Amino acid sequence: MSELILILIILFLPLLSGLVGFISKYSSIISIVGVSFSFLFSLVLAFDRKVIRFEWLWVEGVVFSIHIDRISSVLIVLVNLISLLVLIYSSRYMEEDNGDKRYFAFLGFFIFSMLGLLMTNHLLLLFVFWELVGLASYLLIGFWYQKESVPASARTSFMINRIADTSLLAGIILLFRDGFDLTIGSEPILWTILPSILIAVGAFGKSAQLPFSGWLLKAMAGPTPVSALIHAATMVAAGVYLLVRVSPFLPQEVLNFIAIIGCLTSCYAAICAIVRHDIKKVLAFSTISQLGYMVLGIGVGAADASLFHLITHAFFKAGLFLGAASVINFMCNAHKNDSRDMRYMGGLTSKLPWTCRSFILCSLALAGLPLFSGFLSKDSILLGAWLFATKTGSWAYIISDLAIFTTLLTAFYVARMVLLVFFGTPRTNLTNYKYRESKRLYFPLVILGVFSLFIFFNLNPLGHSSYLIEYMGFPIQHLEGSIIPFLSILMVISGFVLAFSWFKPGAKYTTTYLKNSQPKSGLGIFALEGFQLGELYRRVGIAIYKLSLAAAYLDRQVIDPMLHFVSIGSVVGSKVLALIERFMVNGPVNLSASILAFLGKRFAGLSARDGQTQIIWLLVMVILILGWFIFF
Amino acid sequence: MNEWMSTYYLYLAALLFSSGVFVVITKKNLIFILIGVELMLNAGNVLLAFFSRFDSSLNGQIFAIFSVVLTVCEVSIALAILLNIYKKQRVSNLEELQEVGNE
Repeated sequence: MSELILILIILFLPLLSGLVGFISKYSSIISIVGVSFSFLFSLVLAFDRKVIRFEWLWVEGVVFSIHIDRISSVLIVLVNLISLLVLIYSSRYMEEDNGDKRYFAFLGFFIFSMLGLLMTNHLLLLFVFWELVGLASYLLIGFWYQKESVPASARTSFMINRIADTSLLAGIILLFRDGFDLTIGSEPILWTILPSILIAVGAFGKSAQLPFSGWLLKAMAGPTPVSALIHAATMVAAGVYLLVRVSPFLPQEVLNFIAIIGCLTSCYAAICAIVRHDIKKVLAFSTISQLGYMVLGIGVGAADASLFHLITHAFFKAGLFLGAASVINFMCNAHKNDSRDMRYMGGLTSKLPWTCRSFILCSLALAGLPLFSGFLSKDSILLGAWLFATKTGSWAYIISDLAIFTTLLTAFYVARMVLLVFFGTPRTNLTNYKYRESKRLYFPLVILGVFSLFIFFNLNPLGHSSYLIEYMGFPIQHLEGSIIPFLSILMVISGFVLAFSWFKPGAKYTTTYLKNSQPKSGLGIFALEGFQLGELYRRVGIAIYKLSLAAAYLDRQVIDPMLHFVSIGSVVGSKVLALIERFMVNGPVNLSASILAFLGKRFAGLSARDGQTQIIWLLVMVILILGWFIFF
Repeated sequence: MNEWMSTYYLYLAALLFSSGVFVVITKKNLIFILIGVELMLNAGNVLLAFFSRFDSSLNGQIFAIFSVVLTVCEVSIALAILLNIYKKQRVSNLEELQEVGNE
């Protein structure tokens, strides 16, 4: 019972503190206190090492349950920690914004939904929290709703999510119809193909896999700390989390499909990230790419590696986004033009020393350099892909090779971003704005940067697993002497070298970056537009609109006349029927009735009015009876 | 008494009965109806007397005499009732008497 209270406290404390903060003056402090208590309690939960399970009957035959095993408890700690750091950062970042009460209330609501998502293991209940998380994301993307194009972005990203959610719901309904147990985490029974694919597509939507990737770029319209928390570290990982949970239930064909999508997404997003100028968009594409890695890991059967990458990625990507927030904040004050464009940046090391250091730490983790956390987790995914390829053969080698090649692209765009933002000389005239990195701003950054080091996850810097994975109960794989770690190190270093030769301070590209920065080749333009994904959405939307117009036209021109014809016909038919009724059915009835009435009247007239008539009839009857006896 | 004469007795009885029935049916006066009833009774008496010819002990003729005596008693009582009704209600007509009874 005390465990239930503990869980409820962890779940509702962020929401409550957000709500209380909304009506009080010190919203940020209340939120931070609430979430930090939630974090402490979740640490208790994680060190307790027990599986906690509560069940209750919702309707007959559907048992909802809260189920916290080690995977959930680790992720709950993670979500609480990142949320706490982002809240601390936001308390300074949003200080001047007059909507900050609303901001902290939304964040509390988001943390609550995310924790609920991690705590439940019933698909229907999970879907409820899934939707709440989506709603929180929508509210926070549209936080600055007064700005031009922000509401449209929020709507677009919400709508794309809805399409994927519909698929998820359809999958759940199909599973329910086919009589499968909706409790994930029970003993695995293989699902049928169709619901498995639908549920996987739903997870793709949340995790921004192809073809739903575009919404994550639209989501960058929100405040940057929100992007750090929701659109990099936690919410987008919900899809990966769902896939990890359901992966024992999925048939092999669906897993192959998931692996292919994940691999294509990671490669696609890495290519797009290379040509982008907007620092947040580059980070968004890198998030999509890393999520692609996680999805790939699930597809190839290395769910533990995916979870590991989820955790490490949450730290360094949150750090990168918070660093970008500092950069944007600085540029906003110093340049006042386009605060997110890397073309106007450059040489920011001296202006933002702490931001720069933590940003570089996180970047190296993202690139997957040895000694950093990203290397460990990415390496374990690559190993999983390689094992999958050797087991399956043929086409699977393409996936594995593409994943390894993507590490080169990753290193390339990471190095490009860091070099263009922090090194060299400023490409534009910055005003003499003195940016003060307050403690509340760089404390979370430093924490996240430090957590990007390998030491917190595995003592062996070249290992490919973690004690966390062991804690979660996955078997540790020992693969010594594999070529993969060296291959990936080689790829990362060559990516760095390539990037350095192009973007090093003073190189031709950097000096002319501001003027001729538009890509000239067709592929470059294609990648800059995100492979025309936005155009694809627009086309699909227009196509659906036109389809509905055509359906409406068809309705008016064909269905309506048919309906009119049918209704008029039925009226005419009923009139004819009424006539038939009146003459053919009522006629005989009335006729027999009137005959009977006539007879009855006659016989009634015969009946005796006085004694003499009675006597007459008496005599007649006597005569008749006598006649009967005599003549028959 | 021949065979052919016996039919005349039957004709007489039938005539008496029919005329009695006719009077009972057609006449409205109570006295007439009483007379009709007496006629029908006498037709019966004629038949009793006639058919006792074929009975050596002549029970039928004795029964007929009894019946005549009883008829006298009955008619005297009936007349007395009718007179009383006439005295009280001033009615001697059958239909009027029915209306009086219905009131």
